[in-house]
Amino acid sequence: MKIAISLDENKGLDSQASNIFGRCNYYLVFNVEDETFTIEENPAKSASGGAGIQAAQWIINQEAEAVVSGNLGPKAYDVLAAGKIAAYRHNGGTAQEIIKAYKEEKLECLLEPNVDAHSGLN
Amino acid sequence: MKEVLIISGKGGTGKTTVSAALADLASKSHALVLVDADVDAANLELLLEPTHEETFPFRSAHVAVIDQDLCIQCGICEEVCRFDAVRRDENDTFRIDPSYCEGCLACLHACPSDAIQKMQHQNGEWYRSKTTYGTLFHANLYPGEENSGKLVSQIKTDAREFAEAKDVHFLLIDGPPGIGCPVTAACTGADLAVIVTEPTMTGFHDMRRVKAVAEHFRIPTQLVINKCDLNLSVQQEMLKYAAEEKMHVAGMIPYDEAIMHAQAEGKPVTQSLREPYFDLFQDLWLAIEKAIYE
Amino acid sequence: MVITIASGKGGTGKTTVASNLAYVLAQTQKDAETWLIDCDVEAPNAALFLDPVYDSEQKVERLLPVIDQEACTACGVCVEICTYNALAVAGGKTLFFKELCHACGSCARNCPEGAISERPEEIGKLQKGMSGDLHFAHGALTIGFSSPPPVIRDLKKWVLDPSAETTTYFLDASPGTSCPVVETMRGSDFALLVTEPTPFGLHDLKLVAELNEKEFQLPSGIVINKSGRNDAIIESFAAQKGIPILMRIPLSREIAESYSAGKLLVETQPQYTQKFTNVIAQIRSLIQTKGAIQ
Repeated sequence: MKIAISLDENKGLDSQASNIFGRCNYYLVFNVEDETFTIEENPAKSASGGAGIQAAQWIINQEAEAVVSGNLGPKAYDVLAAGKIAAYRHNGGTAQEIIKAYKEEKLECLLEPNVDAHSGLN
Repeated sequence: MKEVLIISGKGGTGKTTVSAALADLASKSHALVLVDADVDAANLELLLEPTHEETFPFRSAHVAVIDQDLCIQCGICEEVCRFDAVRRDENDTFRIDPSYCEGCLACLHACPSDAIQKMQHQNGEWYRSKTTYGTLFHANLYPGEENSGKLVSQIKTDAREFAEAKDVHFLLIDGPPGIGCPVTAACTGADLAVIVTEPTMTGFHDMRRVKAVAEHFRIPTQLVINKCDLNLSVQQEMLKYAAEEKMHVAGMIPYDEAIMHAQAEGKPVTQSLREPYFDLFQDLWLAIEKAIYE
Repeated sequence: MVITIASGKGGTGKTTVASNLAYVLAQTQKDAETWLIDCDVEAPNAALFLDPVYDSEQKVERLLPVIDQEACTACGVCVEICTYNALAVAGGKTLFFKELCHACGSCARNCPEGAISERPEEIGKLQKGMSGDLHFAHGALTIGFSSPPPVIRDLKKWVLDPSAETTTYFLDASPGTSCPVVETMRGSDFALLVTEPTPFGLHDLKLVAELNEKEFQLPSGIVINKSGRNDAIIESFAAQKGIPILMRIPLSREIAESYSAGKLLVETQPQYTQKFTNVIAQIRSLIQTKGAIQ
């Protein structure tokens, strides 16, 4: 299974993670089973509006099942929830450190895995 | 990261005056990064004496352009355009008027001969400057241009990144007037919205509208009544409203020419005001500090 | 004759000037129609001074997409096509975010399964009526929607007849210089620029003058509100650009108080009736002179 992590920079697994979901510079997509990964520029970064929506869409299209970033706006949250993507918030660190924290279930969960969208959000 | 946004609904209530004063007071105990999110008419720099460091071009707008060599003059673009941007002249030459074009690209998708392209243009610029109170991110959208919501997002994002890189945890944002896209863009991520209003019918009316926008984003609000003694009856109504809405009144600043003159000096008013006005601003800052660090 | 009152800076007195001018003309010129159209649809305030009796309302609607989830195959074509990120495909369904939608129609037109239809949705409301002899109209953008120009466009289409030769329209624009102001100014005969004699006022006056130069080249004039000992700051800019100063309203607590109570200036200070009449005469003459040169 794959997880996506928002990054400030592209220095492989030593990259500093970003806590901006929609407009971070890069996304790392990490395959937990075989430990391969890709880092790509975040296509939502230059969106006029709805960057969170576009980033969430991209993460779904990458077939990631979880994302680790900062706070989520309500629209990004809705898209991830509809796609049954789990979302976690990190407290800083490198991609490597965050992957470790994820495996050890130490990250704060913003959106449970495999849960339907909450009612009451737009 | 704590983000405090100053908004007003109505223009001219004193948003920028309050923002500059808060920047002065807050910077004494916190490292700050400042943002002037009023990209249509950026005024905060007039009070902070910034030293310009870098300018960045802003290109967000794109418009559709018809390649006349490929155009078969079918007129589908004109049919499809909902913004009256397609012009046909007496020779049946079709052109897109960029000042009406919204960049939706409906025409581009509909054109049967691929004769329409997307073209970007520079519609503003933004800056990073140094000030005594913290680094300032500000911008200018060129007059007549659209997309000021995007430019607001741009400078906020950069301000946040810069703050994080410098280990600064406080962002102070002088917001734009109104309730439209620039205010929406300024609201995202704010921890607190300080609404600066004035006791006038118009100020009250607009304060309620902008509060509704902040609530849409689930941002807590506090109220500052500027020029508070201008109209005691409207002031009372505002206080009553604030009590009903459980909105904390962080400060009440009287209408006094001393404050206007202090502003004309091109510095935060707290630099030249003495008691009792200085204390009013100081108390206002302390109320805000308490609200965000509780 | 169509006159737009604009300012760049918020809170300089656009609405004060626009409402008083319109009120005075309507009273003194009973054989022709006078209109005040409040185009500040994010924060329409002129009604607070003119207290109109409304006789008619109209919704501003735009066609927004409706997705038939049964027919939707989650192919994602609409997501690719939408320039505004108002659509996303997740969990086998297509999600739609109406606040981002610009109603361009592209998604509905391009859905390969025909799963997207369109339905009118209210994005604003227009009202018109009378305030004594003055015709009045305004529009309000619905909260949650962020684009004023469609509401302004519909408002002008509803009440403004460009071929009505004897009718005078005063358009109260929103502050700033971005798309809503452009939409308001479009088709006007004159730009009346309201400013205040402060560094803020000058800074923003320059922006709106630049907008006019760049986009419209309308004959223009300046009103200095809160006028006093610092007028020189505006006078030198006005002289440099050849823009006449048509009126000065002094900085006065009394005037501010009557504004705060929602009263027209000419009601509490009747000597202003003649001053506003003079401004209208000067505007007429400036429009004619420009016509002659062209």
